[in-house]
Amino acid sequence: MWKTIAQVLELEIPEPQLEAVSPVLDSLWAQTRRVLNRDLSGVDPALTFHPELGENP
Amino acid sequence: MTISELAPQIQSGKISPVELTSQTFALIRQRDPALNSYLTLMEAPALEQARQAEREIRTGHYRGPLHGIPYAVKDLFYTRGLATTAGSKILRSFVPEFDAAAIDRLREAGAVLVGKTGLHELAYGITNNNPHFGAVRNPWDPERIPGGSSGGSAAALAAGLCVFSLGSDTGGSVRIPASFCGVVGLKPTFGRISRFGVIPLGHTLDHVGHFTHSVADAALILGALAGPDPRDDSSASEPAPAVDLPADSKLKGVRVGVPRAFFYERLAPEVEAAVGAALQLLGSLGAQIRDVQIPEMEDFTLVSRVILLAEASATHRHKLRTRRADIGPDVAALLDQGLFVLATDYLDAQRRRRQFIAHLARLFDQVDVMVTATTPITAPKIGQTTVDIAGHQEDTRLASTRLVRALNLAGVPALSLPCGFDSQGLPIGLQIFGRSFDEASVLKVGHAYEQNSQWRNRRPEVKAV
Repeated sequence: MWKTIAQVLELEIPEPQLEAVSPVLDSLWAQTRRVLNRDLSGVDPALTFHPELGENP
Repeated sequence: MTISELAPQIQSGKISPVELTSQTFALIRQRDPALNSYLTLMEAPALEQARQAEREIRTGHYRGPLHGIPYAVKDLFYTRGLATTAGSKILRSFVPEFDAAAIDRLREAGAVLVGKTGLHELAYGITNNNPHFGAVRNPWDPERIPGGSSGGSAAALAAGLCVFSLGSDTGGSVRIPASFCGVVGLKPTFGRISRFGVIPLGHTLDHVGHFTHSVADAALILGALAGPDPRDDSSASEPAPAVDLPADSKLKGVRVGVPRAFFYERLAPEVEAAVGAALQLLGSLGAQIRDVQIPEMEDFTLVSRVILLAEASATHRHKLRTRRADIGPDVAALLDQGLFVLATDYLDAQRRRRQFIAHLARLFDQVDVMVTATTPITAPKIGQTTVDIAGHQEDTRLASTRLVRALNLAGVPALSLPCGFDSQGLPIGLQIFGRSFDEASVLKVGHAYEQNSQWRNRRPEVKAV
């Protein structure tokens, strides 16, 4: 799967390197789905900065 | 010696900044070949700065406790007219036209910059086993890593090759080397210290931090560096905190939270024992020790990993695309991984981050600080890819970052200080973190612990090569 994605997105990752990271990507993908697959639409992403209010980030 | 010990003697003329700086370079020449903590030495400009400091002090123009004090800076901070490599072959010839804001502030305070220290390539890793500039070695055992990514700054300080040093912390890069090298490391609140002129890694996670021999010195440096900077849009408007550390070091009424789930699991037995003893000591000083629960820590650790993967790859993707052969394999592998993070996952990770910030804020209504180990292990050997923690094998990088990484999500202040040594003579780190912009409580608890424990005066014996 990662090889196809890398080709379609033209990521230019050499095959040996892609093979090396593929198991890590498999694991990361599974963990990410477990942690993020839920309705988060009511939560603002922590991308806005209001340092003047002492808020971070 | 600490800044607090040196400063009165410099002010009174008993210690000369020129002699102190010259001695620092003599020690660097003697000891650093065994450590490789410095990438660049600045002997001529440092001696000129020291001479200027000496002239000013003699003529009654003493600037304060950093005047004439030699320090080092991670080679991630811009230095005008001097190469700033970020530990990268690609940036070997990059010469900035201005100084980082932190260096500007320290110059105004009269501190003397002696050199630039080694780091993990692009500040993206914890070993400091740099393929382009060589491995930085741990002063307590040169066969071991100093931790990273600010490992050169921590190693140089531990070996007595400066009086304090600067680093940066995106997922533990100040606290991990502080733990492994047995020095004090402070990651202040996000926005406290300007990041202007610091090469970025993860723009919503990067913090400037510092290494010292004592908690009191950490407070002094914080006072010098903190404060608003219009050139950095993450800079907070809060003025520099005036941290007044009490002489009696009692903690009566201070509420210390102990997040046992996650933070006290899978610790090396000697680390667990040292942190347990530290909690007992804090209790004996009058602190109220309370168990607390930070929910979903495994999730938030993953959230911080997703955010950093995406941000670091966005920062350095051009280098990866055009100069892949000049990037070390471990860093290239991380940059490759980040290219596969979906934009929607990045944004949802930032939404979950908001939940973590809210969780912590609620807990800080119940306690003033929380205390954990900084790292679940002591310094691993150079090249060691996995560690054994009580019979459980774990990736060295993930184990080293496990207890520190998520705190960068919340931006809260976090301190690491020595709390013991293992049976191999390697230092163990204690992590104390508090609510945003309350470095004062974190430093107060750390100072009380330090004053009543026996670790602060231990130094490694570094053999000359």
